[in-house]
Amino acid sequence: MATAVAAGSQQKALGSGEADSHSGGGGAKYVAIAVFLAILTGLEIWVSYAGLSHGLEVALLIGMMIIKFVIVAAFFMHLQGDRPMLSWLFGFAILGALVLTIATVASVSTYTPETLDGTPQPVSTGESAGE
Amino acid sequence: MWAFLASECFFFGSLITTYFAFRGQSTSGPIPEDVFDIGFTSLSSFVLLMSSLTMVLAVSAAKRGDMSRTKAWLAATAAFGAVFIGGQIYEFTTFIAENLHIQTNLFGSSFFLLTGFHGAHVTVGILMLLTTIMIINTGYLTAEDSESIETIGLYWHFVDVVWIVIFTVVYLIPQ
Repeated sequence: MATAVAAGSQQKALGSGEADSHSGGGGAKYVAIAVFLAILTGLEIWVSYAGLSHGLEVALLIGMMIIKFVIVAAFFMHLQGDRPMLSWLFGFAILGALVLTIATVASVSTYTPETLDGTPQPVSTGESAGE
Repeated sequence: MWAFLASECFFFGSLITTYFAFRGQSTSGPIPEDVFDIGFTSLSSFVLLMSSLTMVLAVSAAKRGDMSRTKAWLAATAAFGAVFIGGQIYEFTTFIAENLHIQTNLFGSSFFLLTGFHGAHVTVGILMLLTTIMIINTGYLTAEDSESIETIGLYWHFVDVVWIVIFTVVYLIPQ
């Protein structure tokens, strides 16, 4: 309780000049954005069941995920219209996490199941084995 | 708050990385295709997405100084969050009934770790929302303090965007 209040006060103290830029109103805009996000989620589910080629399916799903992520960050988290430094901070963190993921998965993919589990053969389904 | 959220990016990035690294490496079942119910999880995702709408409407109402509607939207957000958590508990219970435990295989370990920590974050968010409603009721938090509600909103939206990623990479993208 006190933490939430303190956090808010701290943010206010850091400079709330941007507050007016995204203050109040905009209810209809937010509803429209939520409807668009819901439609995108529905499209994601359709794509996952549509039987598209693996590459196309993954590309579409990743693309729609990025669009949803950016929309929520820009409009609901008010990064659009806020201080650019905050966008840079958040963007840098996401980029760092992405680099961490790619680097780790790339290095781990060189290991075989034997090194991970100490067993000779993966026995999961053919599709999932070896990925 | 933004610095905290940046650190959370790395936290969840590490958990998602772990899931990816162990993806398809389980040497025994159950595997995702055996246990996932995409329809049910989609519904949970929709509920969490709608909670972001009610949260942003709460922030909007607070900035207008309408604390009555702010409380209503915060309560709606907490309710949506509780429904999401209820769905996650149901999902976990179902998985355990199908013999997928955290120690069963690599998929179980990385899946429960990732989604469990996300669920814990949602639970913390619900507690923050309910606490905020109580503070507003006491009159300690007024329209002049709307930045506090926006800060909680940032946390809530972050939890939502993390789920957007988890839903796609864990549930929807085939192995």
